[in-house]
Order: sequence, then structure tokens, then C-alpha cells
Amino acid sequence: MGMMALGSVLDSCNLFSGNNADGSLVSNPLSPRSPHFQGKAKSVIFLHMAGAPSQLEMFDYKPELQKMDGLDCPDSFIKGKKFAFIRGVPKLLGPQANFKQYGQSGLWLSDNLPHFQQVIDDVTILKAVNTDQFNHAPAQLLMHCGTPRLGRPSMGSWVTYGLGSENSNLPGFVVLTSGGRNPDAGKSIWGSGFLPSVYQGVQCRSEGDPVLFLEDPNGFDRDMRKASIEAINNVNELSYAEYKDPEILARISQYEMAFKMQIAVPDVMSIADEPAYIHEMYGTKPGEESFANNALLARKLVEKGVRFVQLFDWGWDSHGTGEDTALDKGFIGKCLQNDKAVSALLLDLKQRGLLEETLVVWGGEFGRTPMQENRDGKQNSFKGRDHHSDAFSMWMAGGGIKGGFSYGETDPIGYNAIEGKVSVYDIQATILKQLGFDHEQLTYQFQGRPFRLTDVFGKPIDPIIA
Amino acid sequence: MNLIELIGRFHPILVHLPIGIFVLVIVMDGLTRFDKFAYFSASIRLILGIGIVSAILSLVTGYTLSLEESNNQDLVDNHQWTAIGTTALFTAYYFLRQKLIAKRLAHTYTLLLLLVMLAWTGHQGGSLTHGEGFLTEGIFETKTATETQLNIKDINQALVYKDLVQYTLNQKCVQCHGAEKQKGKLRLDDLTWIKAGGKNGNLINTSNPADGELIKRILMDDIEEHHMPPKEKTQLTDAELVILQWWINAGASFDKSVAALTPDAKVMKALASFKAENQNQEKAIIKTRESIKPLEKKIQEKLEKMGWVISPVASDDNHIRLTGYNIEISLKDALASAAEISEHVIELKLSFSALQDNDLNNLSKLKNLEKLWLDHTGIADNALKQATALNNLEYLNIVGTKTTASGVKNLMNLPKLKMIYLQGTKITAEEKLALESIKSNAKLYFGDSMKSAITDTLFVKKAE
Repeated sequence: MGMMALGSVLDSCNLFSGNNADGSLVSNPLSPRSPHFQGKAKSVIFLHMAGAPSQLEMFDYKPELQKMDGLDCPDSFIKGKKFAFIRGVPKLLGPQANFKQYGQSGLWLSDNLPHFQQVIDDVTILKAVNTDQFNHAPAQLLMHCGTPRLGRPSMGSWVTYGLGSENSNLPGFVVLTSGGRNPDAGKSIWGSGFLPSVYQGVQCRSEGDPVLFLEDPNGFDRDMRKASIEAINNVNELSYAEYKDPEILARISQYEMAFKMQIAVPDVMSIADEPAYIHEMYGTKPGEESFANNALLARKLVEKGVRFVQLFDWGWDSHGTGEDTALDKGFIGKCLQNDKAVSALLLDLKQRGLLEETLVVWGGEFGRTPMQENRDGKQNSFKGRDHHSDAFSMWMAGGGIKGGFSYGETDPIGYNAIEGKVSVYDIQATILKQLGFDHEQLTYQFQGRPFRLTDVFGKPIDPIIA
Repeated sequence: MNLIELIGRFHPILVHLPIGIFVLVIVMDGLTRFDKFAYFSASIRLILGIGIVSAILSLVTGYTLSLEESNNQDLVDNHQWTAIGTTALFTAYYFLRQKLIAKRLAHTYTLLLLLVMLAWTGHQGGSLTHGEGFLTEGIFETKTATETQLNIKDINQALVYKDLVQYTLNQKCVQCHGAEKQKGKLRLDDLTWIKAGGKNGNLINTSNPADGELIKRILMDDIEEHHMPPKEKTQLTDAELVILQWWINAGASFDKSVAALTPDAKVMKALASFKAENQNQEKAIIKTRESIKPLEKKIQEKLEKMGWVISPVASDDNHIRLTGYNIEISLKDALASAAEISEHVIELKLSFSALQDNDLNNLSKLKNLEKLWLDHTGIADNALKQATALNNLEYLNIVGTKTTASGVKNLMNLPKLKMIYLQGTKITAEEKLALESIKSNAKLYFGDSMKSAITDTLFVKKAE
């Protein structure tokens, strides 16, 4: 059965063989393909808080840590451990926010997330996610490409490769960034690695025109554009016949896609036409670069059939080296921006009947220490925490994931996972499972062996699946 | 099935040829001892030769067959190596027979060895096709009744071993460790066998539970070969594992009730979810849709030319989901073509299209529809009239349309309908209440507005 499933994916993914029925050389590499089994989710919105937000001020309530605030961190926690910046013996830092229980499920949330309580009963919080990387770039690569090193395809590429797209006028995998910077790992975390390059994430600009040069120049009409692209593609097909380089085929289909996108993109990428109550809900302001604008765009893209939308929001690296990265200052502002947009996104997806088939994932690349950072052995001037890989919180919603559910527990100070520990690979396996894939069977033959997103690890987190 | 697989499938027929020929060789060779049959000797080389050729053919087909997946890979491997060994022995005998015949005793032992090898190989092959233990079924059995019904009235009075642990073992283990098969010489279908353990011994260790083979193998990472149950089989639920460990920690007694073993909070939680988790697992396995033939390639191409995007549901399910974002012809014609493949279409998505009521004249023909998106289109109540014939419909999305309460009302007694999304329709607040008071399986969702959070501005100020 597994072999059959694999075969069908491989067969249907044999994109570049022979001529098509309509006489063209290239079959559409984004045309839908069969998953292994019927998935509950059809699309994914992955919200990545680049820099790694502090779970201890958002989701993981640790009253015991409050009592130990200011005490030296017990030796047992730091002995033999490496940290990005902490040196010597740091002091424990109590939660810098108040927590309350919300919703019918009674899950704990901090005051930093005043809107999220309205959607809490649609969300599963994972409190014991574990990674083995404590620096931003490798940890981000691990989260999205299944390895801390460069060169592997990203999750969005795997998914578009496996499922194709339902709208041939738009890319299958779109990336939007906010916070003023790209994530530390660079554009590789939405790259296609060794998969055909049509599956790489298409990054749209967050400010101004989403895609440059969408308008035809004056005096150059649509028919002429069509004729010129056909001419270019004819030449490309000739070179393909001569060199058989699959990248030429990728280029041909990208020209065709670009032509279609000229019509479809301005419409879907403009939030200006959205009604006032939607702008009110998300906190969006057309024209500026913001996470809220991107959240709204994510909804617009998913409702038009885009398979995978990846949002990166920079600015969560709360070391406490300055006011903007202090847990009781800049971090709160960051939480509030995020909270409103994210809550609005879930409410909006739900009211449009999209949440059932859209899997929303939220998280950073790791978490933050229960200790206050003491860079080079000296207490930082503001309240901040260092990078922490042993346990952190993420959440998932929609796409067949349980609502109002919490999975996993950390120890009383939030350092280690003590129950329901899941790895980054488990997260990836779960996402693929919800889309209808056995993560061990979604493979691609490269350099003489099959590769997969989860390398040789991972297990779907079945207890959180509804 | 491809040609290679076809060759492999001949193996079960072909193997009988060398078996028969080799048995004949052994019998004839034995009989040459008697003067009356001494003349057999002249034919044996030829018959043995034919036997070896047929054995090699069986090896080739057998190897091809072994490339297909088996649920007993170990036995397949063993069978392969004994078969190769047996063929090699017969081949050696072919060349050494002249020398051996002079030594009467050595010759006899050789013939016996060949017979044993042949029988052993044959038996392994038989176990593969009929299942291990097929031969001795009904001879060595003592007790086969296995309880697979979970029947607990009062959880506190339930017997931990009999009602919970044995139930779990019956569900997840007994298929291979029971009356029919005893892999690793282990049976888990009754307490006498559980006490006896398997060939690796130490099944349950009450002083160090993690060291007992049972728990050790269940907890082992599933990439390990010895992980149990095997990866492709249904795994234990979390609750089952918690209860199993609790039972062993508490001394693995076979007669105590739940109350007698004083469950802690974690175990109580597991006990509460025990039944539900089992049912969820069963539900996931049951498939409800009828199997149908794949969509004809010609028809698929015709629909794709119109702009329909066809998504296959799953690799083992030929039903499809039709999406209409890219339709380039009139929607009415496109839908007429979709109606021609009504057997296949279980999901239809027309969101954000220029759809009008009269485009949907063929909607009622799409009898297998389970999900339907008509949101953000020009439709009104007439479209919903067409939908009243869709008896398999589970999900309906009419967000942002001109539909009204009277149109929706007609749909509410559709037998399978679970969810209607109605945000942004023409339904008034009063009508909403009236609709919600109608008894129906369908849940109506009108959307929730965002409540503003009072702390908002305060925090932003603080942050700045």
C-alpha cells in the first residue's frame, strides 16, 4: 500500500516527460496531484515569528518560576549546557506578564494576548516542542527544511510538489515578510532545494506593488505580451530539445505563470478594497508593511486557492539588550500587534468557512530561557531571555486539529519538556499528515537516494488531531 | 500490475515443479538400491537436471515476488535463503552423485538431508501463502476465545487485567501473538501464556517495568526493527499505554479491580479517554465511499481545457474535487460538463466566480457532492433549491451571497448536512434566531465579530 502510494506520487510527478495532449511540451507542474490519503487540510498558513518569541510570557504559565524570580539558576539545569549568550550562573526570571484561564477549555493565556481568548477554543497549544538548534538561522532551516544545513527543499515546496495548486493563475507557494528584515536563514527557508524550481516560494513585496512590473508598458497591449511570451517559450522549447535541462522547462512555465499573474495578482494582493470592518478587525492599514496586512493577505491568498502561505515576522528576539527587546517593553508591543492580527485571521477564516480546510501554524524557531540573560556573565540592562531549545510553545488551528486543547507539559520552571514532548520533525509530519501525506512516503530521488522533509525522524502528533 | 510483478505471481505455481521432481529423484535414487530398480540409475541425472532448471526458475520468480511488500518480511527472507540452499545442495548432488553412490551410508544421509531441506523450504512457502500455523491449526490449540468487545459499566469495578489490559492486547497484539500465530513463540491471548512469556523471556518485569520485553518494545522508537506493534500496524493509544504501564507498576495482578489499584490522576485521565481513543482509531480505519473507476483521461482533458482544476481525493480513491477559479467558458456549460461526471465529483468549489442562479440548473445531478462552495458569487435562493436534492451534502458555503432565510430553510433537513456557512448573506437577525430554532443536524455559522480588548491602548503606550 505504501509502495503504491509512493508510486502514484512519483508517477504523477514525472512532470517533464513527453508531450502533452494540447501539444505543448510542458505539462503544468502545478496541476493537482493525489495525496496518499484524503487530507483534512487543503492549504497551510505558517506564521513564523522570526527571532523566537518567549513562551513564558505568552502560553506557558509558570507560577513556580515567579516564586524563584531573582534566584540563581540551579546548577543541574546549566551544567554542561551551551547557550547562545548566557555565561556563568544566570538568575531565574519570573513571568513578565499576568496569566488567566480563558474559553470553555480554560487554557492559560497572558495579558499580552488580549484578543486571542476569542479564538482559544479553536486552537491546540503545543507546550513541549523541542529543537536541537539554538541559533536563529540553523533553527529556522530545521523548522522549514528539516535540516539545520542549507540545500534542502522547504516545507512549502514539498507541499506544492506533492499536491500542486488549485489556481493556475497564482503561485502555489507565497511568502510574505514583515518586521523590516528577512529571517536570519535568508531566502533558503522558502527555497526549493533539489525539487524543480517551480516549487520555490514566491516572495511578494510587503510594501508598494506586491510584484514588480505587473503593468505592461504604455503602447504594449495584452495580445502583444502574449505573442512575445509565446515566441520566447518557443525558443526555450528548442533549447530544451537540444540540452534537456529541466530548468528550461521551469522557466517556460514561469513565463506562462507571470503572464497569468498580471491579471490575477493585483486583485488578490490588494487589501484596499476590503470593507472597513475587516480593516478594523485585523488592524490593517493599506500601503504600509505590517504583519497585520500580511495576515489579511494570507486569508485572501488561501481563499483563492494558494496552497501554502508562509509569513515571517521579524523582531521577536527578546534578549533584553535594549528597550525594544525587553520583555516588559518592546516585546509587549510586538505581542499586541501580533495578537490582534492573528486572532482576526482565525475569526475571519472561520466565518468564511475556510478554517476547516486551512491549517494555521504559529511559532518561532525555538523558545526562550527561564533565566534572565546575562550576556558575557553580566546581567543585561533590560529584562530579557536567551535562546532556549529544550522546550517551547507553538500552536496549530484548523485543518482537522483539535480546538481548545493543550498538549505537552514543561517542568515547574518551564525549562524541560516532561510530558508530550514533540520535535520539529513531529510538527512537520503532522502538517503533512493533515494534508494527506505519509511523511515517510513523500520523497524525491536526488543524488542516488530518496529524500524527504523529515529526514529519518518524525511522527505525526496524533493526540492533537480531531 | 507490471510485467515484473506478473512474473513473480507465477512463483506459487512454478514451485511445485521442482518439489515434485526432487521428490521423484529421491524416491528413484533410494529404489536403485534394489536390483529390481537398478536401471533407474540411468535416468536420474536427466531428471535431476530438469529439476535443477525448474528450481532456478522458481528462485527467479520467487525473488521477483519478494520485491512486493509482505507483512512477514522475516519469513520471506528465510524462505529465500533456504530455497537457495536447497537448490545449491541438489546442484552439488548432481555433480557428486557418482562418488557418493559407492559409499552407501553417506548416500543415504545425503538423500535424507535433501528431503529435509526440500520439506523445510516447502513448509516456509506454505506458511507464507496460508499463514503461519495453518498446518497445525486445530491440533495444538487450547483456548481461542478472544474478547474484542469493550464492555465496561462501572470503571471502578472493572477488572484491570481482564477488562482493560487483555482488551488492549486482543486489539493490538493477538493477531500475531495468539492462537493462530505465535511470533517469537509468544502468545498474549490468555493469562497462562502471558505468564509463560515468549522466546526472549522476561515479558513483564514488575520491579523494573521498562526492562520487561512487553513495555520495552512498545516504547522502542518505531524505526527500530523490534518495535511493537510493527510500524505499519495500529499502534497503542496513549491511554492504553498509560494503563498497561500502571498495571505492571502495580504488580501485574490478574484479578484486581481498578479501584483496588488506586489510580492516580494521570491514570484516571487515561481511563476516561480509553474508550473514546479506541473508537477514534476504529473510525479512522472505516472507509465509507464506494470504490469507482478512475476518471477517463479524455474526459479529464476536456474538463481541464474548460479551466476546471481536478484534484484527486487520494491515491486509493478515484473521487475528485473540482475547482473553478480558472474557468474560461460560460459557467453554465462548464457545470453541464461537470454533471456528466457526477459519479466522481464529491467536492465542488465555485468561490469568487461570476456564478448566477440559472447557471446551476445541473447542480441537482451532482448526487455525490459532499462539499459545495458557492461563496462570493451572484447566486440567490433559486440555487439553493437545486441543492435540496443533494442528499450526501455535508458542507455548504454561501458566504457573501444574496441568499435569504427562506432559501436556507429548505436545506436544513438534508440528512447529512453538518455545516452551513452564512456570513454576509441577506438573513436578518430575527430570521437568524428563527433558523437556529429549527431542529436539524446542520450547524449554522454566521460568523463572530471581534470584540475589542480594553487593555489595547494601555499596553501599546507602555511598550512605546
